[in-house]
Amino acid sequence: MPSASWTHRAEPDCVASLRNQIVGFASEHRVTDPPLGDLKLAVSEAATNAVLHAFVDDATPGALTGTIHVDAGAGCVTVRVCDDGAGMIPRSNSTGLGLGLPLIAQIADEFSIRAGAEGVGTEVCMTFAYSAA
Amino acid sequence: MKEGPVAAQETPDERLAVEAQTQGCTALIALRGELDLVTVSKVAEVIDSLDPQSNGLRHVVLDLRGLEFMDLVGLRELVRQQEFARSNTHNLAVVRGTPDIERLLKLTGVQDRLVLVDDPEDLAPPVGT
Repeated sequence: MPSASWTHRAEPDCVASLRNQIVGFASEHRVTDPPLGDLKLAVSEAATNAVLHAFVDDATPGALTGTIHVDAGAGCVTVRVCDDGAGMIPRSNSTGLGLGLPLIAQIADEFSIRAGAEGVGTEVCMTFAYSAA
Repeated sequence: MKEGPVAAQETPDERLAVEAQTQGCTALIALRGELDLVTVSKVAEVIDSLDPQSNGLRHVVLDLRGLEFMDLVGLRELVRQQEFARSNTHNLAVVRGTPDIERLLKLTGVQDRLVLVDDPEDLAPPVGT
């Protein structure tokens, strides 16, 4: 199953890099549009969330990793966006409007959010179905 | 799993071009590229620099036809500009972008809060007056 992974320092510039790397890989492996447009938007929202919220109490941002698995046989593509930040903590001083994750849930066929490996950070997992040729 | 290829990183100026033209009391602002966390400040800077109240602008038209991508950060800027226009008593119109951008507006319900047109020429009074 074709898959790839990219890790960036979780700074604002990495959102576009990760978004375009994941969508580029999906295109190379013949993932159709739809759902490529939705996939691109979902990766951008997940990465933006991590950049804005995961490291607000840290002097320097940590790591943001995106992975993609293309399963042509099953006709689905799965993307995980993980950070090693503070994890899911309700914040009264959040700069966002809280729409990013609900939007991902709306456009992805499957969506989950949980603590990252060994309880560190946050992992957003989303799956999109497509019609494999 | 292999490590994916590393792509050359573009600067914000390479990723989003913001071009403003003013004719009479109308400003037409065309966006080309990607509107997201890094590039959104360029839109705000250009519109703020127009200073509609001081310069007698009555209509601001934001043309999304050249946008290849927009996420919620960009969408929030559209809403912010709409609220600014309302409080500043100038008009803001948005020229529709790609189907993906249309879908984002629809999914979030923001399309009902904006004046949307297919072409700047669809506006009354026409751009340039």
